[in-house]
Amino acid sequence: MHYEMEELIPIVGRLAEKYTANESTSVTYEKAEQLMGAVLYCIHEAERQGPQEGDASGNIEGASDRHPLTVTEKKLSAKQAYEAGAACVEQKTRKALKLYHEILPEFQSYENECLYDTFVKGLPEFFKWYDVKFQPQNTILTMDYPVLKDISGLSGIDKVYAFIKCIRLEQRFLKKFPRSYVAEILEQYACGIIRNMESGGTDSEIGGAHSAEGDQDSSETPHVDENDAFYEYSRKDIMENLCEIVFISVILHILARKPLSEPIFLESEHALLEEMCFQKELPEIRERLRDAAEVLFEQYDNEDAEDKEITKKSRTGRELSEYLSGTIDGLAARLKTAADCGTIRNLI
Amino acid sequence: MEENWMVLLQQETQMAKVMEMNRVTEKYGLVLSEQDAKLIVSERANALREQRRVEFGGGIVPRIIEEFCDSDFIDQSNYAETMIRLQEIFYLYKNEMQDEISDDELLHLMKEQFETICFGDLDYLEGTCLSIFSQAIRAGYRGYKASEGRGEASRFDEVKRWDYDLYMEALRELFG
Repeated sequence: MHYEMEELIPIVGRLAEKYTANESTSVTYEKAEQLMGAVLYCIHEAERQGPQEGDASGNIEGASDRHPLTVTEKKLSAKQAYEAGAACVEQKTRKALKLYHEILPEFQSYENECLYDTFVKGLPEFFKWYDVKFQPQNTILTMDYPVLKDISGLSGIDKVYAFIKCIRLEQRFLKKFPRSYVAEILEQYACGIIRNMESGGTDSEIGGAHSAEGDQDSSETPHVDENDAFYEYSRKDIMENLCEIVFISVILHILARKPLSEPIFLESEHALLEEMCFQKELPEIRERLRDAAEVLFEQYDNEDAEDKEITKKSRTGRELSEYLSGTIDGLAARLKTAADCGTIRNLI
Repeated sequence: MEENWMVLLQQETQMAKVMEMNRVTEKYGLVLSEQDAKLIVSERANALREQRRVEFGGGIVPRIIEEFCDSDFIDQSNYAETMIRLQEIFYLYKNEMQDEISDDELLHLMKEQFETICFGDLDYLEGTCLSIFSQAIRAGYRGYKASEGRGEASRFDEVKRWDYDLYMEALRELFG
């Protein structure tokens, strides 16, 4: 932030006048802080990008990454920067709403309540109550569904727009698979959690698919805890990222050269994977996983290549590769550790 | 950072604006010396800090002076002191009324109560009249908006101000 407080105060003053509709000469500290926060948020927005850049590329986040010094290079005054930033916030809000409406008709939550509540119930409330002018920094929602991109440093429309883009990417990924297939993987994952709870956490870490014996147990059946109380846990209750769960399952299938139509891993396949991961170092495992992921992502890119409007950079496979890179790194470490300890069967 | 910029705001000089009001008030026999004006402005800063409020633009003191200068209960001897108390009360009740009331509405309400109910008693204005009205506003009363705070002074008054029967009885005792 390169502006002195003396430059910012008159902007806050004018904003306060608008806020009170010239009916009050004073506001509370809390309101003044909120308005100062709004001014700083807009200036920060302008610093990250100019509205023209956002328009030209059609990709606000990409533009913001490429133009971090727009304001300082142009030497805009604080007032100009605020006004430019406020325009960016408005524009981004419109884009986010448009994108949301594009996703919504074909949105699939796979009956997961966390995803459904956040996306279908929560986001309309955000757009209903979001105050572009006087409180653009307020995210309003907690956005409980965890996306794989770290958006914790963002707030307001920045955070919501980034969240919607993550959901769009996840939906594109998941739509490639039959709905019933995704549902089955999620159900198996839920079963794994139940087994883990019943064994007091000693049974397994949670990976993608599960062993043959474990899958005899139906997740729809109520389970009994140590106090003889019943609890149910199914894919509806999962509070984790659905895309990551499915991706791990698929990637392990590719690694084991196993058809996706056979969700349950056999003992021989456990042994194969364990042997593979035991003999290799972590970077090699990571590389193998990346190669396997590339095979998967190519499918998406090949489809996008037919669409001339999609640039090479914005192809789904490429975006997925970036989005899921953290998952690949984490999975590689878990596989290596499990293979070294001889517990890979529990992981998968 | 929070403190600094808020202090900066409050340090904006109000002196000239307060002194300018002498031109309006001198016909009522009220004139503020420079020392009085300084005192009012410094007390304004204290009141704002105490009520955790930030003031922008011209400030409320000139408006208070303008509203109250023709009061029957303010003369040169209590002018500065009354202005200081009135601005404290003003900021207090902006908060108590949760900023639901505009500056003009509150000033009209204060003036009317000051003149017709409190008869110049600032403690009564602060502790009773405005307190009752602020409770009504917090409970959702918005009837003052149509009249800009005028004609509202006794709307929530809990005290019977004029007992006609008692007056007649006293008259009878005295005269007949």
